[in-house]
Amino acid sequence: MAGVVVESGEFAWKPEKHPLVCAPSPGYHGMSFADTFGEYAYLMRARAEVLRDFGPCLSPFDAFLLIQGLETLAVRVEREVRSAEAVAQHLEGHDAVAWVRYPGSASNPQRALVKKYLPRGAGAIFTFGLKGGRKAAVAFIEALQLWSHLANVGDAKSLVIHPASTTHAQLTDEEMIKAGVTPDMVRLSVGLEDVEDLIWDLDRGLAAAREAVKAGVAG
Amino acid sequence: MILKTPSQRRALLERSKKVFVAGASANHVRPSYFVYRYLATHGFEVYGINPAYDAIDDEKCYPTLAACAADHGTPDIVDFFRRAEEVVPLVRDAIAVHAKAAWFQYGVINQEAIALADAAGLDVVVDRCMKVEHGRIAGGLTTAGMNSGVISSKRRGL
Repeated sequence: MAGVVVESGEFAWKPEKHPLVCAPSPGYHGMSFADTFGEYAYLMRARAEVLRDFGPCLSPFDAFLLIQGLETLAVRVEREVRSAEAVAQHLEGHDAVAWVRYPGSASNPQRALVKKYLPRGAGAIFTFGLKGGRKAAVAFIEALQLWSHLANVGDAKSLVIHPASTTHAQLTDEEMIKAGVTPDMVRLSVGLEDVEDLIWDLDRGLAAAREAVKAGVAG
Repeated sequence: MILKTPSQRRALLERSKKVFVAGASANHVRPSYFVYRYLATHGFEVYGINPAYDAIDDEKCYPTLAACAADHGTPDIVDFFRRAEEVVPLVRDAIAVHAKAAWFQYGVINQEAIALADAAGLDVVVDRCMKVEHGRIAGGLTTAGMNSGVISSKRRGL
């Protein structure tokens, strides 16, 4: 396991609000990180106390993989975001789709905020709803061949899941609605594959969803 | 002149050799000890100024800047590790021994002291740590995973 801490060093730490950074640290003879390390106060505390307690040692191989991944992270994210935009746009125009909730969509009423806070794109993870509810959503996912049915997000490959029947299945129907997890909702995490292949696969799933709804109505 | 940019601070560190640390501590867990020790082990000629001690580790510690200057001459930098409200007389002492620069550590912010040093022609650095700024340039900050603000693929060194 590994992670990255990105911190500007410009936060105004206040003793009364942030004792962990400002108050004397008993483990360091009463030293205050804020007074001693200036802009590096938070990072020094993270190293000297948090990493000390939780263990700072990434295995060498994990460190290698992490560095290897970081070197190309920017271009991977950029590509995933561009593909997500294309996928969202395609879904918005598809008649088997009830709604698309992609922050970067032109139809998003909070578009101005997205432009302000996410000027380089609104990420590659979003949800949409299928006409036909739960039944359509399940049929959709089962028909997909390229998208992987997995519960994680942000992978190099494209991922899809139906939260109502998986990650949130322990909730009652009422709790699900409160949590924003509607029965028709599908979550996508767009990966690095050719976007035309991704859309082609989604179309296959959407066709299957439509068939399932038709069959349901007939039956 | 008040030095505000990283490149100005870099130039100051590069042209400086002799540092008097006003308020150096003999207590090994104080920042005023470990900055003193760090500078001594990174190529600076460092002397401690503190009337509370005769020595820091085995090195002579001086009661005043004047006493230190009498033995070692003019300092390139006086590094101030004192409460902001107590620093003005020390700055007058630094000017009297013809120090070339006054360096005020984190939180040692006293407008009168800054103005005095500036007016006397000293280079002045305010609210910065000499160890951190040296590490920014020498690469220690990078090794520790901090953003040094220096964008370079070259191995660094002072």
